[in-house]
Amino acid sequence: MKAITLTLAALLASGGAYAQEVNVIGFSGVFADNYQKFIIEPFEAANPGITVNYQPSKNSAETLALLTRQAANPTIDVALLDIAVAIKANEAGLFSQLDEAGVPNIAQAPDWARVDEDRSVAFSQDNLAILYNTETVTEPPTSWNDLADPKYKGRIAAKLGDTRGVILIPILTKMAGGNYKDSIEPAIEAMNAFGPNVLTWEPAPDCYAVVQSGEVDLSICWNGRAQYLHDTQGGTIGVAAPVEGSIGQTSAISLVEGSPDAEAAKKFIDYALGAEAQGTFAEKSFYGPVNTTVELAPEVAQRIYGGPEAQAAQMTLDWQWVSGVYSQWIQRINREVIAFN
Amino acid sequence: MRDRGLVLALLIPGLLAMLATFILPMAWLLRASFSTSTMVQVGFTLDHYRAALVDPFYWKVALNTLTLGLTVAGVAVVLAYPIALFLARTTSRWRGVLTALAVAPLLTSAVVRTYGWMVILGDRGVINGTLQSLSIIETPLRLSNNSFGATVALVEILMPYAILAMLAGFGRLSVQLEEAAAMLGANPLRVFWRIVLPLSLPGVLTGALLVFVLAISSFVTPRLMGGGRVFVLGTEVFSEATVTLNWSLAAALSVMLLVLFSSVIVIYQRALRRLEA
Repeated sequence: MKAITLTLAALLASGGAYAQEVNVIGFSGVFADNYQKFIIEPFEAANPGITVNYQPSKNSAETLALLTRQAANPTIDVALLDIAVAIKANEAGLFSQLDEAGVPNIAQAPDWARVDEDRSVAFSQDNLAILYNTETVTEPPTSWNDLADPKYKGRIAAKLGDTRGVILIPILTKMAGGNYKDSIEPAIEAMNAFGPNVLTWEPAPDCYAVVQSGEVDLSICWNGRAQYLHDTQGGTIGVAAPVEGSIGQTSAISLVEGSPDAEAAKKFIDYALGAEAQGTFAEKSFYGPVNTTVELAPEVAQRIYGGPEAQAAQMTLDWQWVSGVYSQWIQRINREVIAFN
Repeated sequence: MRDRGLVLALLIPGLLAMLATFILPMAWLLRASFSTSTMVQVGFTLDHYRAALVDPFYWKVALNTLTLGLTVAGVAVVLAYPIALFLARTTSRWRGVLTALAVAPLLTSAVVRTYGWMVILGDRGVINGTLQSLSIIETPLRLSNNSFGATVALVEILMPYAILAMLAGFGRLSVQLEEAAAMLGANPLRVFWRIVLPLSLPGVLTGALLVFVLAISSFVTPRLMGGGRVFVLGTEVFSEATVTLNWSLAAALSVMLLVLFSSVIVIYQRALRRLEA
């Protein structure tokens, strides 16, 4: 009987009238592969009537440009964006409000993750970390302060003129006993303390390759991809998670306003925000989960956040607030740190 | 009259292509630069222009851009001149091959050549590696990740354009004139100074202008070779458009860059025409 129902459902689905399609746009590279394998495929298996097409985009700015262009007549249903960019998109009214009736799993997201009245919901956090070359660095750094150690003179890559810098500011401010909402002066000072050690503020081709090739000893970069490269590229890249804790580059999922298939899209968003999807994704790609009910195995937590001390010190940001100062902070980093070092 | 109609008809495809790929995007850019929103085109405001004009940082960036452009144009012309002169005067049967060789670098993208320069000038690059293995230096010389590296790479990347422009502009050079001057008793230096240089000047100035324009609008090479330390208008526009997502400010900066440097070009070409007359 069940087999007959399934066949019937499949027939109906392939008949066209009932076939549903969700077009998702998001990050490219390993993220796209993992997202396809660990989130989209299980979702499609559980919802045979819905096909999910994933369209990788070079970066969040490009996604935003595409969404803006199609605002009147969108072909995309769901967008995965850097949370700061998602907030920008909400200013332009590009996303629809979600609710717990349509997407029950948003109830499992913490308050900070639900931005713009649930128009965008954070789903993963990729920690900022210090990467090191395991061949040239025998004693891995343990603290953000190690960046200022004179032995790294001319041996650091620090791309700070973007979200990396915006995340490092609250970390360094907190280390100096301050609060990023009051003043970021201590962070600018701390950046200028390690500034003379920086070889390049614009590592090419990216902040991972320069460590892999030995061009620098240390690089300030994202944990998830570094862990992946560690496992696949012979372990040359090591990841040091500083004891003072870190903050993740936060990605958010949103339903596009005027989505051609909003019902199916909401189903997909609900699945993507659920504990199962986030737990698997965290385990496979080392992006921290946002769903509060996810339980991580200790060794997974270690690779995402670092040791117990770092785990306890892990921070989250008030992104809504930070998005208001985002460009101002980048301007300060460019003008008061990079231009002088 | 029929001829005129034919000319117009022949022009239409080209004009349409220009309209779609150049004029419309430019109009869009201009519109965006006056928008009250940072992303979509609504309202009208001069705020972005005001913000850029009262900010001393952008003035410094404009000055940086100008300095970089002038340096690169100057060095590229000096280096390219002997090559172009040789190619223009040689009667060797290899002339065609040599000319092709001189402009062959254009077959490779500027990004790839920038990476090449990173390998040569890097801390562990060819030059530093050699000097260190010969014990001439202990710590690597800082040859890249600064404006020196950006200048070197831009000069090499843009030199083929200078050579091509000069070759095209050397039409008035003639061996007979040089021979006549020599017969009348001028030594080689004097021949060069009084005959060759003045006659080749239009080509030199065209080459310089071309390199200057390409250098000030470049952003990949300054960004990669400058280690993030070289702030030019191109890198600023890129960063406003893709990092801070202030598209209107990026548009305003682009329009200002365009106005500033198209006026430089107009003045320059007037001067050039006077020189040729």
